[in-house]
Amino acid sequence: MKKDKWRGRMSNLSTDITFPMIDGEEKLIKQAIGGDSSAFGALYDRYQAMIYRFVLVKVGRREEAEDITHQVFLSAWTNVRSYKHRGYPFSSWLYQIARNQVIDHYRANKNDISLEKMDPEYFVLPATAQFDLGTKLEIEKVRAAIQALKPDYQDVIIMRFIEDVSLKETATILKKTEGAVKLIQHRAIKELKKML
Amino acid sequence: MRLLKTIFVVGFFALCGAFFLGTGVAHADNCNLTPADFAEITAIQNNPTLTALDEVKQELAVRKDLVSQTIMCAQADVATLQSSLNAATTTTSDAANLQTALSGKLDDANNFYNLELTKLNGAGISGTESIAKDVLAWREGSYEPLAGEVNNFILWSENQSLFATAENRMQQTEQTVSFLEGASGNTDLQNAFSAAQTSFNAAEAENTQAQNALTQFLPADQSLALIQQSLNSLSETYQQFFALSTIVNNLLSH
Amino acid sequence: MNLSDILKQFKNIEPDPNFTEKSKRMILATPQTAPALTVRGLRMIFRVLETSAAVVLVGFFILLITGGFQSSRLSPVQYSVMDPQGLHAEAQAVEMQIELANINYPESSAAPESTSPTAAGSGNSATSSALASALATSTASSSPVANASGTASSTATTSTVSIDQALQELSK
Repeated sequence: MKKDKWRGRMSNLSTDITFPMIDGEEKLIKQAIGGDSSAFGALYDRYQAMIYRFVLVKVGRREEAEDITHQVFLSAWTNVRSYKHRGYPFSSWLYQIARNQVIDHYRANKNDISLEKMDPEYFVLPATAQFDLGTKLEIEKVRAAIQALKPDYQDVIIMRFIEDVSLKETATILKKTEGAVKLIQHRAIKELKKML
Repeated sequence: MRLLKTIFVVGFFALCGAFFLGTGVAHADNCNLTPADFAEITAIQNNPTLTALDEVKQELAVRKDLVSQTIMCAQADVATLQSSLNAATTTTSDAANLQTALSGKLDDANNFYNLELTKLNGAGISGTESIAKDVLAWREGSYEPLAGEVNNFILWSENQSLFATAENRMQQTEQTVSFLEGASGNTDLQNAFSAAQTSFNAAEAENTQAQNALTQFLPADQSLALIQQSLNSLSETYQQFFALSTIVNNLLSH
Repeated sequence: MNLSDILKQFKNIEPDPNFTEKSKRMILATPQTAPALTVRGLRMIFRVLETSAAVVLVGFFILLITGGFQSSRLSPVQYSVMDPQGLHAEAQAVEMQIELANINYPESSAAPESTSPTAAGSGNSATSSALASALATSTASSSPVANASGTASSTATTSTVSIDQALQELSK
């Protein structure tokens, strides 16, 4: 079951790392664990756009990104009572769920037509409606290039360069050392530049 | 949006089962007009083998047939809407009166279409064009707003059972809160209950405004906006109930 | 713009506010999964039930003694929990109705019309260009004469025509 897979992965996280928490987040998390829907709603408001961007860059299509984002928060809400607050930002858990949901999404759709054969228009981001045309085109070009990277490279690019997640948190989410993340970061940027 | 769409479509069609009883089945075959049907007119006009008289006769026959089919399609829509309207349950005399008034207006719409159909009998080509133009203008100016009002009324009448359920919930909650507050001295309960009460009062007020807008036959988008607002306030009320439920459960577990 | 600048621009991408609102509502209206029961959990539940039963009974008798009891309206069971399953079901019914209002009834004049008898027509905004485009395709296949609109289209000739489209075409 999907639920059990990511629970198992969560239990491997180290317990001796502390992170600077956003003000009031610890209280919100505890209330959400207690079943307080408005507390979870506050966490949703705080992190939904971030998770959406993460998913959108990886899958490209707005509809699929919305689907997956919804699933991420639905999973989080229905299982938050089992969440063990160990001092990480709540976003770490959400990223974990999002990564797994994207993996599951690709597994479920692996028999679909390959990316190369798709009409490039398929991947245009309506979410970039507020940008001018030149910027939109640049964004889409970079997004498509990120999508062509390996999943770990994608994750590091998105977290470190788009969402400004700290090295420490990125390492925790990806279950790697900080050194490994730095290396991936360097290689990912190099590969991205080569493609562009 | 696949997941959300699935949920909404399932719920939507479940409700549609009550709405659309398919009484327009007799007209169903007439509502499959395709571009090819209209291309026939152009084909006749461009046929060099026809005499001028034959061309006019054939074109007139096709036009009359198409206008007739189109109007019967429109009548099928009216019949469907009438069924849905009649199926809506009303619990007050005001609502029942409104339902009757709207039903009467749909009957008027059907009569209009019948009248236009009879005009086809003696019409020439320009006559059929004139009938089509009149019907189009009438639909834009009269029928579309009416259809909007009827749909809004159907939606509003469905909402009343949700409001009744919420009111019942409010009463039960009031009793629970009243007792527990007395037993525990917890003031969070009363605050949370007040928030729920405020939301519910707003929802009820907006629901009444929506009914007034419908009764006064205000533009459909205005009454729809009020209906949507009342539902949003009702949704907010339930969020407050959830918050209350958490407080109550926490209180009882300590 | 260099790569770093473009990557920074991604931060400005936001989800559709309508999606966000709907998604949040749907999620919060969903019942939560209860955590798997352990022996410790079961013991805690029994303790809660004992306590809440005691609270309920005490309250019941206080009310009975003080004469505040109205048998038709009060039930001891009501005090224990606020019926979360029922609450969620009611909330979901409201959410479903909101979606029906939003999906079924968009801007009043923008709803597309259907010639199907199962749809209640409420829109009138069909323009003649769609039909003309469709006609261009069907005409092209049956006659070498170019159509009046002069527009090329790849619209399928098997698409149905709405009532308003038909009336527009017939009123020319």
